[in-house]
Amino acid sequence: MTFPAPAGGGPGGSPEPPGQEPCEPRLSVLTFEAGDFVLGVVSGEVTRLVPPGEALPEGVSVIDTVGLLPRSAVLGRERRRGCSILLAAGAPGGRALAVTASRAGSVRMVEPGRLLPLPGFLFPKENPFMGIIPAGEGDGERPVFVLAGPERILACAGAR
Amino acid sequence: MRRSAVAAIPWVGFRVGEVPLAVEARLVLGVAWSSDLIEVPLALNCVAGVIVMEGRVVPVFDLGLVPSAWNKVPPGGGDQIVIMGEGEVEAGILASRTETFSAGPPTEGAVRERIPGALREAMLSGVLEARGLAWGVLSVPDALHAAGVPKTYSG
Repeated sequence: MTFPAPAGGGPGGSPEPPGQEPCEPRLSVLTFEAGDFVLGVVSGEVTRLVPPGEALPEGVSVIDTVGLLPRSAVLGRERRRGCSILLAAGAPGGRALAVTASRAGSVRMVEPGRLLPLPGFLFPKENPFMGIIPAGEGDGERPVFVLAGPERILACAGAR
Repeated sequence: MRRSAVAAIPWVGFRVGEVPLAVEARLVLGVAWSSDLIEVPLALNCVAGVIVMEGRVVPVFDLGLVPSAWNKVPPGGGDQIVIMGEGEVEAGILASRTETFSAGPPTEGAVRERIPGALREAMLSGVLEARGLAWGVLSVPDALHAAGVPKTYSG
């Protein structure tokens, strides 16, 4: 299954509505469940969703996100691997990366101001996240941890 | 002869494990319930999570999971978060039984003898007596540095 590229506005962005002043484009984020957490990746970085059993292209590094994450003391859900999300190499010469997911979610258009950065000192190695989208008030959603580019994910997992 | 008056200072007291600790109320931005906590995957062990306060991410630490802060590590956890701000730093600490009181300024010295629970002296800036207890006055930058917050950030 190919993943559609976001429309306009640069990587993951969207064009501003007609007749309105140009504003900072919204970020398109593909959410997915990984164990007990909801993660996200910038849609523009996603090449494909790969179902279980299908071989990944040669040379792709795989990070088992589902296995890496701690089991939440609160939720304690199963660590099912439902698909892999193939990400394009972040930089020329960089490695393409696939991350495992329990279940693919949906594409969300996010105001850039709602993506809040997490301090790097919270993490033992590299900060793997671009930021967190807090759960919206009243929408019952869980917070989304948006992954940073492949290099930072690899560094966090100790694979770089 | 006039007696010199010692101004009472407002304090926020709380427990980490069973250790009574206090910080000056002017450093406390608020107290939240730990049910507001957002777990952060892949974070350091002593990071209880973050809370979002007025659009800012505030890290929350479980001091009971910072072995370098203690001579004898108490059980961690707590149902409350004491959110502190000092200089540029904003951070929370998991705690329980939060209360407020007024007391005189802390006294220095003999911390180890007066504070049970063996929080390392480097984490404390003194001891104060209030409500029949000796409260260790937490040195916020030192405690956060022990938890992993860089010195440049924690002041």
